[in-house]
Amino acid sequence: MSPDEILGLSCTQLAAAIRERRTTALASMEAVLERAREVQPKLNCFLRIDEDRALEAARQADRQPARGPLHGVPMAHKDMYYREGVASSCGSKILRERPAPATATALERLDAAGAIQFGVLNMTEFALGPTGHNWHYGHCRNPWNPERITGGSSSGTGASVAARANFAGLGSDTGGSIRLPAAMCGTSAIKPTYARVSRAGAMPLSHSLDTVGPLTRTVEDAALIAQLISGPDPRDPTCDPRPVPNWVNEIEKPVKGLRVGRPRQHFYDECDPQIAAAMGASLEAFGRLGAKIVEVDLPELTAYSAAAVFISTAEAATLHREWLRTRADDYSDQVRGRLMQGLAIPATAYIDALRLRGTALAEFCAQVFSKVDLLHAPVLGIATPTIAETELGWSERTAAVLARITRLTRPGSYLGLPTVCANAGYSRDGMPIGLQLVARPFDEATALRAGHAFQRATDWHLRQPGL
Amino acid sequence: MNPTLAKTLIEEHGVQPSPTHVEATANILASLFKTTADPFARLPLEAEPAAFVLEQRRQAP
Repeated sequence: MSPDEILGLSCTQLAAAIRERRTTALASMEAVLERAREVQPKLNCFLRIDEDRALEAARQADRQPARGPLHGVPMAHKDMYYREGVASSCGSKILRERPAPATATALERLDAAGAIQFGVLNMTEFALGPTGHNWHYGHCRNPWNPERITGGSSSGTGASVAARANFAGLGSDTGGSIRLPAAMCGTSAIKPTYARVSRAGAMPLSHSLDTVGPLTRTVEDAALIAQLISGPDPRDPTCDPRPVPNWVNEIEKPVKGLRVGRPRQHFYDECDPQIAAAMGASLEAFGRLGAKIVEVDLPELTAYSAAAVFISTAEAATLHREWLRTRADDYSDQVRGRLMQGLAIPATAYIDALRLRGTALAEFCAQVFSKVDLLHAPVLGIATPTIAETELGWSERTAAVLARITRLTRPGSYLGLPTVCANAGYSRDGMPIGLQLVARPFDEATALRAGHAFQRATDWHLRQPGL
Repeated sequence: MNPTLAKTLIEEHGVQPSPTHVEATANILASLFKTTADPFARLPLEAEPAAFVLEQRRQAP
């Protein structure tokens, strides 16, 4: 296979090609490293590429029997998944030289499946911000238009996967940080149910909301990788004990008869007409697949988003308080301002935000999932902003700009709901438009099945940016 | 929130905010308090944070 043919494969396809000896782990690694070198000056999506170690690991993989379903597949991850003894910058100046205390469970599980990590990816400083700006290492740029933001905080994961400089990578999501870069860069992704995937060895931002998940070329890859990293972990006491279903097998089940909900409120308020049109077309595609499209009323989501901000900001400020006291100048202005805000949140507001969460989830499920199996909606209701127009220090105006970006993702974080993302088309100026499929807690299977069926029926996910 | 109070609360932690950050904190938190006032006021006495995990399990397929 030629390097271009290799780079055009999904993880699932590449693993099969290596297993069937149509290509090798070494050829795959050489191809992706070459592509990474080519796109890095344009996109700044990598923070480090471990070329020699990755090539040696690929040579070893070719000499060994297959270790698992990702044997020999190159991957790079957001630079907040620890490897013991290796520095994870977390996009920050503060942690750039601190050796990580232990390897992340998610990385251990991908290692066991045979994946080979070849680098670490750019991200928003301490994963706090939805745009992909990074004032320490340089902003990450969108492969579809380098003047536009990638979305964040998993900026490098979205950009590298979309640019075919990475087969898949881990992101993390506290208020939209997997879903937003997936939508803006045109990749697939899954934000699993809160507590489905272990957070052990991943940089914490907000313990009550942080969720680990992959950004991928296809929903099929998202199912495979999510399945590999999910499940109980004694190192993470919040991790749910239930076994993980076989999502990869279930993904092939038809969607005929599935009830797909179109929200009447919130998601289409002030929505860009091109985005609304793409959503309409994707609903028609689901209709042609035999799904039943149902309009649904939602509870008021604005209060959920506000409660989520209380939780994430108070928890993040607690984690960063000592550095805010002693190393405040080592934060960028936007991140420092957001963190300081958390120090002024009263304990009563934080606790009320947590107390409301169970009631909110019950209310949402009663109103939505009693009528539909999935909620279908845009990830972002506005055109992808430029880097320049979102280059902002911390102020009330910045908060309003960022809130518009996270408006359609933050409620899902508060409710901890599993969400699959897929590309649903392009704007007239060539930017991807992302859809999200939101399911009831621990029902990743239904969202993955629907996303996979959509990609079988459309080709949006196969298009590549012309870098 | 009163900016003076916001400044005091941040400084109580030994952190020195800029005037811009104080103003942003006061206005943003005031808006969040307003948005959440009703749902927080309606919470029953028995509502507790751990109910979220129970509800997740109850809603699972």
